[in-house]
Amino acid sequence: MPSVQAGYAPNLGVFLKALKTQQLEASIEHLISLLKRRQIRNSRPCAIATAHLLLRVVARFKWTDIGKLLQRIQEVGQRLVEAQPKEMVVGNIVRRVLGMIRDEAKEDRSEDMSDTASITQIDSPQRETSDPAPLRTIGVSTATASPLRFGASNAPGSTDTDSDDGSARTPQGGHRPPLMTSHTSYAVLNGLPVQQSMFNLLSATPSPLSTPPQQIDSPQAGSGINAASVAQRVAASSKDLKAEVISGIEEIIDELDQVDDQMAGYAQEHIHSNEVILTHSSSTSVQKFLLKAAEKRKFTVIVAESYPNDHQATHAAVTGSVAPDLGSSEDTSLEMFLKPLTAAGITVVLTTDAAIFAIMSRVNKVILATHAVIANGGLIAAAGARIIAKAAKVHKIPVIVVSGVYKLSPEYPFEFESLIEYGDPGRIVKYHDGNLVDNLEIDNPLYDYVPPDLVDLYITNLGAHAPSYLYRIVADHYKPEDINFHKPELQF
Amino acid sequence: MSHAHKSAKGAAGGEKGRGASKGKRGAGAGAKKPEDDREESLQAVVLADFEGHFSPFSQEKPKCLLPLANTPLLEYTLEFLAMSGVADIYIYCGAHSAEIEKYIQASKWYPPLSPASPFKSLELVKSTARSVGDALRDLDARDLITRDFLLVHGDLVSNLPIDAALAAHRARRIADKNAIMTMILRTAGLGQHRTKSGGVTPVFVCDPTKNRCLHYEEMHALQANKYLNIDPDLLSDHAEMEIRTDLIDCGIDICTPDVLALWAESFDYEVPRRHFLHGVLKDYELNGKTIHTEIVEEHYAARAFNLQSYEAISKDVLGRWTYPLVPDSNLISGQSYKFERGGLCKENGVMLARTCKAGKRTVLGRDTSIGDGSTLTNSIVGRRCIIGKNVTIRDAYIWDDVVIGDGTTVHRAIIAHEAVIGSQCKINPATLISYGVRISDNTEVKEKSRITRAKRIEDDVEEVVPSDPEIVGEGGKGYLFHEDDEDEDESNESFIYSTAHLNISSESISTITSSISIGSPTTSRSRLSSFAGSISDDGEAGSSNENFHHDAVSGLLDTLKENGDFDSAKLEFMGLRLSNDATDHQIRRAIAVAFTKRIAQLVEQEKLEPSKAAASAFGTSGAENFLKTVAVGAGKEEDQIDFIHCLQKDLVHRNQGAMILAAVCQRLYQMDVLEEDAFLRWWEECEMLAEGEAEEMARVRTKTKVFIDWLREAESESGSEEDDESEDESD
Amino acid sequence: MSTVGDVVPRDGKSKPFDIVETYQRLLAEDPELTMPVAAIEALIELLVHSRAVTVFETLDLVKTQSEYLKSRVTNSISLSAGTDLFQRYMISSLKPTSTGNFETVRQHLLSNGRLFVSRAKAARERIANYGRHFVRDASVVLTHGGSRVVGALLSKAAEASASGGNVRFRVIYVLNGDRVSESKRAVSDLRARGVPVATIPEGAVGYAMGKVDLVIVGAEGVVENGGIISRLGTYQLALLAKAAGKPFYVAAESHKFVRLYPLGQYDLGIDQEVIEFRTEDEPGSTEPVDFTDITPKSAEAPEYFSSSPTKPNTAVDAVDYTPPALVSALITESGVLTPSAVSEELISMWY
Repeated sequence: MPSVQAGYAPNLGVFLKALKTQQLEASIEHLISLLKRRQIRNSRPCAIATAHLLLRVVARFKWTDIGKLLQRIQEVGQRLVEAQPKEMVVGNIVRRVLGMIRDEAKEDRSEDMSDTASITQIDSPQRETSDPAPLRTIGVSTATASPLRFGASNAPGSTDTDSDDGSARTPQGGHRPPLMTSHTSYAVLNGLPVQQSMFNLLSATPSPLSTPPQQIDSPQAGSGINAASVAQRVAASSKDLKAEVISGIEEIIDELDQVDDQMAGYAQEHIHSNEVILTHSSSTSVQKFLLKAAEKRKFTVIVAESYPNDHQATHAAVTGSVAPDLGSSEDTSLEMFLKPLTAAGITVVLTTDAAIFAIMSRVNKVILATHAVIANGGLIAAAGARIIAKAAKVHKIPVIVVSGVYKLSPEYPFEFESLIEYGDPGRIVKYHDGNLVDNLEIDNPLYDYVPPDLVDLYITNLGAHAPSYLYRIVADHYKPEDINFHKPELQF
Repeated sequence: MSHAHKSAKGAAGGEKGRGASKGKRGAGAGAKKPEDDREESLQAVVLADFEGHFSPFSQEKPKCLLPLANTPLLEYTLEFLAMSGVADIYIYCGAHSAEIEKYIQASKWYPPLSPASPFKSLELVKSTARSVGDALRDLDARDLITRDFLLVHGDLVSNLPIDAALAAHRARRIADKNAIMTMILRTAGLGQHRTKSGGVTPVFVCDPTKNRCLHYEEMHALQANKYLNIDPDLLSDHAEMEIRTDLIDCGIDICTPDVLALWAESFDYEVPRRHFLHGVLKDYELNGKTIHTEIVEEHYAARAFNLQSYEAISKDVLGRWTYPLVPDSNLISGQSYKFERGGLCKENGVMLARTCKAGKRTVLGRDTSIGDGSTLTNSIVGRRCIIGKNVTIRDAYIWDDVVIGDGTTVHRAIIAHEAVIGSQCKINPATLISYGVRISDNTEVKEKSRITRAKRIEDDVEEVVPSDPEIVGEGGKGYLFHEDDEDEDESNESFIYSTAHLNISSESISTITSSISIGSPTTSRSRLSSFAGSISDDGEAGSSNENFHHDAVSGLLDTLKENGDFDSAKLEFMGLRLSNDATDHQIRRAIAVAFTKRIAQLVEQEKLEPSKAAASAFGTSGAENFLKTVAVGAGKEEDQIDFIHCLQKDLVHRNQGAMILAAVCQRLYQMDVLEEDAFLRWWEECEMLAEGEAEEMARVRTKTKVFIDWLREAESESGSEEDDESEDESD
Repeated sequence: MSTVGDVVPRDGKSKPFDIVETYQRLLAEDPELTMPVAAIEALIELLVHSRAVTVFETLDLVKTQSEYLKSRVTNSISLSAGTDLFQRYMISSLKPTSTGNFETVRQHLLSNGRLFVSRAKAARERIANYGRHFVRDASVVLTHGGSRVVGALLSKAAEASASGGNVRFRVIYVLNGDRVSESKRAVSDLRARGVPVATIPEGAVGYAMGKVDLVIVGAEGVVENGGIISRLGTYQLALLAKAAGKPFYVAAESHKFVRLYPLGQYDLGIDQEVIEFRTEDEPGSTEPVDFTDITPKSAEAPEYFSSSPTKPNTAVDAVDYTPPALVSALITESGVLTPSAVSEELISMWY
């Protein structure tokens, strides 16, 4: 059932429609169950759904202060991530929003107090006890924002020290502010973004989380959102954070729409005439990438059909004939109407995954799509990607990965197996073969983990990067304090 | 009594109705709107707990709440409905309706209480209905259903996207108003398949060109004569025809309201397939309604209607065939399963001792701990279980809070909540251990034993049964569970299906009542029902003779009792005969039994002498004629002899049988229903058998000797005359 | 200009302050203390004693004293991380442009001496918290040396967590013949926590690698390119791990990051007597046998105590350099970093 109206089965389209009218809680649960039932899957649909949901969350949020908002979004985000941890984009989008809100908050000074105070509250529940005390005391003593901030941020430090709580706090009380600002000024001096974690040892703030200098020292250079939101802020001089945040999220949503075209923009630098490109499974990003290149150049594409999980979609992408049972799971966006490769004048060779190694010697470049990219430069992609990458390695053929920044996750995957989803074995062995069903255990992994050393180049909507450079983009897009927002045990 | 039901239902319906309206309002804000811009939202009816037996577990808990892979069965069904985008749901509960209601209202599904429910309304209908038939008739009476709806059972496990089938159904519907129902069937191949039902094979005769189901029957594994009787017209009407036995009937029906109407019309349909489907297809000429099939080859759909299918589906879940309905998608909030290498599915907080092996395809619930050296394979263990050291567990299904002592072996068994198994025990295959049972150390539990602690209910008085040390060992708690009426269909009671015990009946996928020969309440009712009702029963080739016999006899008896006139009885009788295409012998047998029964009754109750009784019985108006025409058709001698045999056989069991036989013989002779030659030959045959003859048969006919002798004399006289004649000739 | 060596107090009466002695005292007092932190502590004490009034004076004092300390301690790499960090901090916070006045900073540092130490320890805790997730159920971890961070990490992994249930893992510990007592301690610690530990000689690493799921080691210093400087033998572990395709993780606090860019093993800026060519006749100054009588002392991380500045590193406490290419990831208290991220950190601090 390609289109929503044809059937009753809910999917992204249904969800987005429902979002307008549903109660917030209902929408959240709705998305969670859709994720659990895999009725929304694959990166883009998940990302879009999450972004729209968060938009609602912010819009419906009873405005008290930033801290509460962050708390709320973290809580919602956590539930979403738990629903389907293997869809890493969900977490990414939540982090993007959190980071964006923190920036907005930092921007306008008036919110500053509540900002930092609340941040510490969020980052370390166990500290909350020690928190209010200095807040109030200093709050009355000096009306300025900065000592208050110090009080808030230093409280944790003093709780860490077993011995001299008071002594640690009281003497600094007066002197702390200048030191504080000295940090900022320093960071501002040499303009590039700094991750100050090394100074944590000495600076009066214990952790990179929850420290004001942190926030000031790592502005989101290079992230499209920030630049845009700054521009807006200039325009709309009003301090209406809510509006800022909402427009910020809309920025993210726009980014999700444009990301493919942005990446396609680099296509012609990487694909040359008469090259033989090998790609795998069906991906809108890759398809657009190739189509863009095809506008100027003639080249050959070898497509590995990625049987059994994605072959129909792949065939569709090549020939344009939409396979019947797609849309039910895919989002109903344009990819149905994308021009098939053959129509674009590309010579297409369809082959099975098994033939890849044999064919590899003829290939000039391998272009892979991703499901998610991990901070260490590795990636999760449709099953079979690793064989391809490995084969390419053996033949010394460059492997290019096309992936939107939104797929780039700051989480370090401790166990790659845990990121790989196992699907319906029915795609491999027909269920009505009772004998096999009874006597075999059939595994059907949907994804592969491709280690970073098998990848030569990443092309994101920000340009081309080496795998080892990805951590930098991570640093630009996510705040360190948000990286493990969904793992309480990793928050300090 | 059925009237009493109705009123009770009415009351329940009333307050439920209010509940529903509340639900609608609650959902008004929360429910999913998208259906609204479609032409109409989708309705579904869930039949919880009408069919199948999970004894002894289902005695204490509603079947649809029993855990499959640590998730209640009903959850799978509701997930499926949510997946299909159903908006309004009516859940019919049979047994344990209170518990189901409690569960539902606490769950995320209940719109009034949880805004997150995907359903617009979810109505729990408590009815006293004991069969699907009653439930659906009751549903029809409430006319809640206004449009096409899904009819599913509370034990459905499926990941099937239903949209295609719905579209097809709607298309047919638009083309032809009479396409009232679409059944969804899953192919399962012709070979062995664990998820196909062991007991009864449903046979669908379909026209592949129109996806139309033409005929339905059920075949028993143990059935002697495996034949279908297909209406010849079908063969002529349909160019193509498939007879399929390779289908899993997952009980998903897309119905139109007409379906309810049909149920309502025929008040004696009990079960959706063997009665309703068969019946409707049979009187296609009458009502012209067509039923269609949607045969799916992808995705998963099956019902856990008995323990064998429970096991099969558990295996399928472990094998991820039901993806995404697998443990690690944590369907119920609060679950935290993670799928690890080697198909081990572990919830948070599981404590595995260093040397224990939790092998492939195993599910472990939260806070379960497993001792050193224990091995688990292909098993499911619930939450908070404590499993000792060196325990071996294979293919077992262990629910929550179970304790298993050191060195115990469990193989292919189900152990219910809070049961305690001592150390060094051996639990043999097909064992079912019910709630809270305690097996003491060093006990070996025999195969197929079903142990429970539930109070046994003997005609509505609960009695606590003392524990049986034989079974559970000294200090153990629990006794061997036994259903008085169910012993016949043990095959589907027992966990592992086996054809060891030869009985016709074992349950079909879509049958509540196992075949007529079992005295389960519903069937006993249908037995009393008049001839028309029993038409629907003959679908079951195996027991159809029996059915015919029952119905015929009961019919005749009635006529005899109220001295009704036989001409009308004859009509019905013939109709019955045709519909069953019963053999002449069957007919004779039926008649013989009917009369002898009646006579015996008269003899016993009204203390008549056999002769009088016989006289009165056969004296009934039209009886003579009836006997002449029907019983012994064209006066063929064989038929007559056969008839006598029937009488004799039947009278063996009745007291004063001998007397009665004599009387009957005389009577029939006088009425010249039977001729003397017949009697004589019968007698000779009996004599010939000599000691070969069963002695009670002999006993029965002793009294008749007189009569026979008398006949002989009469004959010899006439014979001698002839001799004289011949002599004359010779002279 | 303060002279190298003792700081001459203004009034010249009070006992002269010797930074080296202080440094070693601090280490002796608290075996949990890492070299960089000890160095920082020492420098703070220096500030206490110093009567420097101007910013320049102080900075210069700190500088010269750090140099002195380095020169007096063999294998100064690790502690130089501390001294460098300290100086950097002073400079950054005492920038004339910054509003921070001298007194404030001084007060802040003096008053928070213990705080820094406790933070350093807290950092270790957090590394353990991150690192435990690398240790999966039924995995085999290979490690060596007496790194406290690794010790903390493994023992953290050994204790069951509410979220993940318990983790059943085993450890292969590579014994260093020269540091028996230290190895013994590390092993018995783990065994005490119910972790099965196998001990193998360094010669058996290649043999054992096949059974290993991951390698976790500590480090004395993390250099700018993301490589590490660590106990002799680490390099070969890394090479073998790479060869066998096993992940090689390094657990180190971020205050161990050193501003150093070694191009190879012999480019560490310290001289080590690891390779000595000898013939029969000439008596080797440092016979292997000598190690044994160093060993007992070396139970308390010995290299701290080799007081004579001239005496070079012997094989006992020698270090080697593991290039970043062999390091899968560094586990620091601010998260799991790729080697390239380390240089980012350092660069951001220095330039």
